[in-house]
Amino acid sequence: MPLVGEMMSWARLEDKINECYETHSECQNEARGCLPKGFRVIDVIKRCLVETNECRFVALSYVWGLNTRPSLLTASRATINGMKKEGGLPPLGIPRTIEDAIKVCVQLGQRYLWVDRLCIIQDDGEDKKNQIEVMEEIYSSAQLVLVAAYGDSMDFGIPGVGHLRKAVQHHEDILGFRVTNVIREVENDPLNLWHTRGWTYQEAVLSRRRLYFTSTRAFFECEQLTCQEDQFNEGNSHNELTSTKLIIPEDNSRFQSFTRHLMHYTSRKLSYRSDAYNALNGILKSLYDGKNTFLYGLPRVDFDRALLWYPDIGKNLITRLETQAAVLPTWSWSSVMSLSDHVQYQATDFYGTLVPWYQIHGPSPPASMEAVNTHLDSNMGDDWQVYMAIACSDGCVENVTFPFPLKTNNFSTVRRMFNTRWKDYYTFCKETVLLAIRATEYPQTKDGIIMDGTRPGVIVTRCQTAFLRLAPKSATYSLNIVNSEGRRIGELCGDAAKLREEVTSPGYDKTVKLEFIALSLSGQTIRAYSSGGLRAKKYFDIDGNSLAKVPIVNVLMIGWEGSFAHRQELGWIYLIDWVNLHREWKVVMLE
Amino acid sequence: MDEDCPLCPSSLFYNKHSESEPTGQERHELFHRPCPACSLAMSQEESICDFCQHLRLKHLIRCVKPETRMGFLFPLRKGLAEDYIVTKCPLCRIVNHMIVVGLIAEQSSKIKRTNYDVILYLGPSQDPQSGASSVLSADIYASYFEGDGMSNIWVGDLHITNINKSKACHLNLHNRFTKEEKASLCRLLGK
Repeated sequence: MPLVGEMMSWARLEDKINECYETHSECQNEARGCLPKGFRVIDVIKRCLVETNECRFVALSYVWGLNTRPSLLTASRATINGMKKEGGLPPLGIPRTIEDAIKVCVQLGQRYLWVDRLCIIQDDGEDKKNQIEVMEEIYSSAQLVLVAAYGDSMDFGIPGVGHLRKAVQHHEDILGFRVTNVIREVENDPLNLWHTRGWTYQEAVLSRRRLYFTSTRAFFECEQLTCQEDQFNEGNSHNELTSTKLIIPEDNSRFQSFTRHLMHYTSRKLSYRSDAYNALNGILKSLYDGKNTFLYGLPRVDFDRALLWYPDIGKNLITRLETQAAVLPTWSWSSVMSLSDHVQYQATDFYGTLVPWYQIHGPSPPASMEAVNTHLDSNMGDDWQVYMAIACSDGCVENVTFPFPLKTNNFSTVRRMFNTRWKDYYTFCKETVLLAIRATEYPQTKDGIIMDGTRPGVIVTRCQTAFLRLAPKSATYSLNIVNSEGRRIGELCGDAAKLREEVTSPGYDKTVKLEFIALSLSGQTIRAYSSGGLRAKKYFDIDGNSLAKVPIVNVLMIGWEGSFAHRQELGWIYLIDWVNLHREWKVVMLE
Repeated sequence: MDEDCPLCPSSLFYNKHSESEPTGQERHELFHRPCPACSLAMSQEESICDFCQHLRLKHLIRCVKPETRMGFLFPLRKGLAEDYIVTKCPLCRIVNHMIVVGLIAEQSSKIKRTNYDVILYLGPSQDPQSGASSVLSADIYASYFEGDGMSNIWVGDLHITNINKSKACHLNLHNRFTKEEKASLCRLLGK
């Protein structure tokens, strides 16, 4: 068997790739969509661009990096016709990584190659937009995606294809044993950039077969297997943390797949933060079908849950970014994209929203409002009726009473009476939570003019707010939310490092109160090691039965700039404590 | 430990955190106890350096119980992180190659600034069918001082195969010794 040398050894990988083409049923094209009209690919034999949407092709995933040779070819209105002529893509004019990908195609007997730089007209806005919208189709239709995983630019080349690799495999015979070094990547190599880039994430997730080229080796990965160029390597086992598959068995729901991808994606970097949505668009579209499915990166059907993201470390102040290309509002995960602080979601069960969310269209007043969270996912925790019954009884849902308190009823009666009044979650929300906001309730300027909610990225709600204080949670991370007596009633999510710095600084005014708005209800699991204090936050019915989880209210800590609020932190407060706070109903325009 | 062995003192660490050093008895068992089952391991091979000779790789792989050897880390010869050392010793050569190509310049210079050790960890057998150590994986680390304590950098894996399975320890036990001798050897080797 050949050792991994300075140049690629193909036999083992080619066998596995061909085996996959011929025998792996789950790796065949699922045809998620159609390739667009005028789809272009490189004909690697004639060395020119051809327009066709009916061919087997290979796609390239790589890092663009800085353009070190300005003379390198790129598809533009001026060059596209020349590139369509036979020989129109001469080797010297092509970035080395793309040229090496052409060599790989020839080696593998694949005639057509798709590379964004040469197949999308870079100075044609419409062509670019059309192609970005079909990234999902392009990468999922590709027979194979070549991943140039090493190098800092498109002119770096593919190690082992266009230039020699440094780390090569050796045998040594010692005392009757053969000792061989297993080929792996060099850790912390600053040129291992591909897996840190935002755009390349969906390129890998959407593909069916990937052939990776690192600095030291190559390996093939499909839905069914992983095969290393290095026969002595055991292969990569994929799990929840490392998998790039669109859906994995560990995903219990579509929303869970979404959160997994968001965690991976937001840990990566984009050259332009305004690309935050575009570079994930293919994955979002694959998970959630249909048009107008997302609002600033949040799936409408899971909108109330999707709002509950938080940055892991919280090392940045969350600010709204508005450019010509995109708006990244503070309530969307996009506002922390590319800031080296990935997004997380809590592992709590969700029991429903307490507030409506609207987008405002047209001039105001009166503005037309479009409800955002009306497409409700019915996948709710088992006890949602009881949670909502408590919320209604204790004034967390405006103008709704539910006269069956737990003090005088048991859980099954509450559930039954709740179901009699509202047959399902959708009906409950429609009739109680999702009520229109009256024009008179809108925030107004000092002159009595209603604020313009049509500003891009603004969503409006009528919600309950409360003012509370923060206190350090532990010696090293996060913050507790405390009530007026200084008692802990909840926590901020994540480390909240930036805010913690402020709160623990000597000059911090410990009496300052911060505003929190109630979003939704969740349930916190009581574990064997949970403190006795957590058990005191449980709800019991008249028969002494308790809910399996501890009800909590998901809250947003907000700040104000004029009449617009912005998200600062996500947190949670025990429901049993929230209902005892002084709360007010307020219209909030969140930007 | 053999009192007059110049290599023993720097040849062994405990794998798990421990305040104490491996004992003389443990060093003796691993490096000096005569082992009839693998007498070849004791023989001199010209190309192998003194340090690797002392390591008794063959004995560690074939005769010592995996759970015993996995309790230890084996420092290799000093200086193996230097750029392409000239040596006839095959183990030193391959480990040196791994370090030179497996670490980035920053890591390499950080190690070299301190009194570092290059460590071999011998893992379990990966060939359950044979019952012998026909395939084994091993790890190479560089261990160095950083601040107040020790830090480790993982360098890479080694894949070790028995070139001639017929010479494997268990076959020797079956084929070359009487039942009584075999029982005695098993007791000696802790099998």
